[in-house]
Amino acid sequence: MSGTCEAIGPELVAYLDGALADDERRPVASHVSTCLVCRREIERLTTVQRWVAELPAVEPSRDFAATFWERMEAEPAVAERPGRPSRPLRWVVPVLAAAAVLALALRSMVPETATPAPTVPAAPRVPAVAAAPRIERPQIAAVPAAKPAPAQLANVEDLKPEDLPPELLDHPELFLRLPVVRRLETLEHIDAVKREQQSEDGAG
Amino acid sequence: MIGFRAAVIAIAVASIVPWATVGAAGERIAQNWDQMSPQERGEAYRNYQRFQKLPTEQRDKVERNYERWQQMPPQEKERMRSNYREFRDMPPAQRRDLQERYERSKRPR
Repeated sequence: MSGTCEAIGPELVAYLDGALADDERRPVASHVSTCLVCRREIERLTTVQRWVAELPAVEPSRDFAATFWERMEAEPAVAERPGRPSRPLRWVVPVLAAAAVLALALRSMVPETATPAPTVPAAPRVPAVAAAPRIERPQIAAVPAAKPAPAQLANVEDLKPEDLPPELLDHPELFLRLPVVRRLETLEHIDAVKREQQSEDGAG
Repeated sequence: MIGFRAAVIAIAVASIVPWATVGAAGERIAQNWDQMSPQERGEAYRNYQRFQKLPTEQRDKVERNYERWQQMPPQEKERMRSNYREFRDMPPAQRRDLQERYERSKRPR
């Protein structure tokens, strides 16, 4: 992984989400179009996004709101028990915050085409959730596809660099040494295994 | 002291000479497309086509291996290539035996 990959890596999710400004997006797009490693990372991220998008939408039960508020109403009574110091609803804030984050996350994950979950009756006492701004699902930037290989390669020399796949130009050593790189793990240990083999043969 | 001097000279030479282009055996190791011979380009292109046909998990493995490969010094790369030539030229039965032994050695004992 090159220094550019390391610099670009943290931007890939924002790039996929279409959250980068034009001047930030351009260098990422340019790098991704030629870098095999980053393109594979984009493919992985896109796969994860697709899987998440395919998850069924979480639907709250019909009585969720009513049950929730019943429990809310019950809480002060518990807090006012004699002998127990009055305790503000300390759990409400984190619970509401978590609910808001979950709602926003689900909203951003569910694709626009998904069947919308039944609307929960509006709860006016939860302005943070009810008034949460609607987050549009970002447009996923299309990953530039590798150029199709010529049907029959008469002579690579005849091909212009712009006709060659960018991965090949960017990582020629990988493809030149592919048979070695593919078996690298085995090849790294071949000496030790051979020694073991020879010692067994010698002992036998 | 001589060893130290030799190391310093080796480092100095390595910083001047483009080390990545010269292997331990003195042969050229092409890293850029422009440096490759027509034969190497043809081989790289054919391997690229093979790579495209690999299943995803094997491509992931190749990429992981490639990251390690890039970190290897030229001598180590040359050793791997030499090991590969030896591995490739083994009779199939011996190659299988070696592979099985390696797989066994990886398993926790």
